[in-house]
Amino acid sequence: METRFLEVKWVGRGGQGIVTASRLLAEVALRRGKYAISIPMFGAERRGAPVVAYNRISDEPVRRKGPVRKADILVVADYRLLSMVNFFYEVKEKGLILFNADRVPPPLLNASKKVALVNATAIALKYGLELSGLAIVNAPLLGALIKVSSLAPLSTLKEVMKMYWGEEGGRRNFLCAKEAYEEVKYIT
Amino acid sequence: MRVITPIAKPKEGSAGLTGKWRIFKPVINYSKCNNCGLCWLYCPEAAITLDGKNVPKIVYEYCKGCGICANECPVRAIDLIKEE
Amino acid sequence: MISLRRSKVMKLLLTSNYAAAYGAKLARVEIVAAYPITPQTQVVEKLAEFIEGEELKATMIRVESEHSAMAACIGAAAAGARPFTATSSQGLLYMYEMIWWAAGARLPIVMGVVTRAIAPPWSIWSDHADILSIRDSGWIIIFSESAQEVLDNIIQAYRIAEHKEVLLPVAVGWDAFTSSHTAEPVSLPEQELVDSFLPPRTPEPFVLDVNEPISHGNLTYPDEYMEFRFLINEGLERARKVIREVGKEYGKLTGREYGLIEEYKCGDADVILVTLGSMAGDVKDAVDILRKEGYHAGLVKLRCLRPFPREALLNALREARAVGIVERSFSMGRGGIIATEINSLLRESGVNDVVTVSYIAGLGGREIGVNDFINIFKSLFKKMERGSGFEVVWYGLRG
Repeated sequence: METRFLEVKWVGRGGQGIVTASRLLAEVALRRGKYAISIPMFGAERRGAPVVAYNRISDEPVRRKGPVRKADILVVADYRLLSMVNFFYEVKEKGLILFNADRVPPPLLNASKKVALVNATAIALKYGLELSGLAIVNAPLLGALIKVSSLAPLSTLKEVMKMYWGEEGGRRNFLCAKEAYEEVKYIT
Repeated sequence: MRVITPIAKPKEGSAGLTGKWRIFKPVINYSKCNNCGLCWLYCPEAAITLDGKNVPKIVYEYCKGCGICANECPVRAIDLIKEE
Repeated sequence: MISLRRSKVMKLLLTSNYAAAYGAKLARVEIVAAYPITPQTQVVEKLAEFIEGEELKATMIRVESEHSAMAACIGAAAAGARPFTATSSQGLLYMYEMIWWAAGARLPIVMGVVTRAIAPPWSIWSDHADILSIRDSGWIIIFSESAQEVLDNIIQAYRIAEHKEVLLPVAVGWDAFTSSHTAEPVSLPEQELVDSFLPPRTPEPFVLDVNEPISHGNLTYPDEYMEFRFLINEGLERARKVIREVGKEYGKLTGREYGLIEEYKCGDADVILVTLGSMAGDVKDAVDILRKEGYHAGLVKLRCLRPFPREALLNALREARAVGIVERSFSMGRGGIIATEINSLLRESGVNDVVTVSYIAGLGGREIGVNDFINIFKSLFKKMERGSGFEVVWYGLRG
C-alpha cells in the first residue's frame, strides 16, 4: 500500500534554527499519534549559509528517506533567499508557502499558490530570541505552521518546546509560537 | 580520453555568491585606515583586494561577513553593520 | 522471559547516530574510545553525555586518532571488557591496520560505521566504499536501514561478537546523513529486557590476567600462520547461524526479528532489486507503486554482508528473471562489489537463466529516491527478456 504523506520543506539560514524546527515538528506529529521523520540537509555548516530541512508525516511508517522534491508546505525563514531559490517550483500544485516577512515580498503578489505571511523575525526579537545578530525564528514559524496545517493543538507544541528547552526556554519560545499562531495571515 | 584530477585553482566565488550569507557587513572607514594591509592578509576568502597604494577594498559579492578583518584591524577602521 | 509487547515501550525521535548511542548504552558498554569525524561525532557526544550524567557506567578513553581508538578497544577487549567505538570514511582508513588486528586476535569489539565517501575529492556524504574496505578482514559486517535497526543491530552485535563459536568483531553500518542525521521514531527496549538478552560478557580463557600473563599476536612461522587464517573463516561461517538465532531471539523479545537478509515481496517477483542501508526504504515504496501497476517487483535487503548470506540469497533470487544490485560502492577495475559477489553466487550455483545488472548509484551522497528505483525496475523488466548476462550501469552519471 502506498503511503500518503504531509511533506514539509524548511528553507532558511544557518543559525535560524531550521533543523531544530523540523525536529520539533516531527516530535509534535509523533505526539499526535503520527509517524514522522525529520531530514536535515547538510552542506556548508556556517551561520548565514542557506539551510534546508524536510519533514515527512504520515499515519503509516515512513520508509523513504530521499529529500522532498515538492512540498505540501514550504516554510521560508528569510525572504532574502527568494533571489537564490525557485520556491514556487518546490511546492505542490495545491501546496502552501509560509513566509517570514514584515510585508508581502513583490514576487509573491501574483503567486498562483497559496501564501501565508508571518513576521517571525519581529516576534522572535520581541522575546529576545537572537544570537550574534540573527533572529532565531523557529519557534514563531512552528506556531504559524501549526495554525496553517491544523496538525496539532498549540498545547502539543508547548509540551514539545518544554521538553527541548526546559521550563524557562520552553515558556519563552512558546510565547513566540502562540503570537505567531494568532498573527499568521493568508495573503493569496 | 578524459582524465580529471580533483584540483581547484584559487578563484573568486568557488562556493557561489557567498556574500548572501552575510549577517554583518564590514565597512571600511577610510579616514582611519592606515593602509597596513592586515585585513587583506587575514581575510580567509580573499575577498579583500589592495590597490597599488595598499588601499583595501572589500568584494561584497563574496564577503561572508565573518568579521575577522574588523577584529584584526589595528586602528579599528572597519565597522560591522547589520545587513538589512 | 519478559515480552516487550506487554512491557512499556518508550518511543523516541532519534537520529541513527543517537540510536547507536542508546544501543551501546543499553548493551552496557564498559569502554568507549573514539575520535570525532563527520558524520559520526554525535554518536560519541551522546555517549559522553550518558557517561557524564552517570546513566552509563563506562570509561571514555580520549585518543589522538582512530588508530589509537581501535587500539584502545583491542586492549579493552583483550582484558575482558565490552568496548565500543564508531568512525567513518577517512577515520576508518586511518584505523585500518588495527581493524585487521582486532579480527586476527579474535576480539569481540563492536564498531559503528557511519558510511561515507572516501577522498579525494573530499566528500562527507553517503557511500559504502569505506565499510566495504574491511570486507576481507574477518569482521562481521551488518547494515542498517533505519534508526530502529541501528539500535537493534548494536545490541545484537555484542551477542554475536561474544558468542563462543564466533569471537570476532562486528561492524554495524548506517548511511551518512540520510540515516545518521535523519530523526525517526525508535522503540527503546527497557534495560531489564536487554539485560536478559545480553548478559555481561563472560571472559574467554585467553583474557589478559596479571596473574597468568599471556601475549596476543606474536610471530608465527610459515607452518602456523595459515591455520589461524583458516580458523577466522570458520568462525565467520559459523556466525551465519549465530546471527540468525540471535535475530530470532531478539524478535521474540521485541517483535522485531532479524535475519541475514530481508525479503520484501520476492515470492512471485520476476525482477528483484538487491540493496542495502537507507536505500531499501525507498525501494520498498517503489515496489508497492509498481505492484499496483501490475509489475511483479521485489526487494532483497542485505543485512549481513560478512559472512556472505549465500543460501539465503540463493533462495530469494533463484526464481527471478532479472536481478539488479544497487550499491554505493565499486571495485575499481572490476564492477560493483556486491553485484560481482551476487552474480558469481548465482552462476556458481548453476542459476544461469537470469539477467544480473550492477547499478552503481548514489556515490558521494548523490540523490537517489523512489522515482529512480521505479526507473531502474522498469528498465530491468525490459532487460529480463535477454534471458541471461551481466552488465554494469553507472546510474545517473553526468556526461
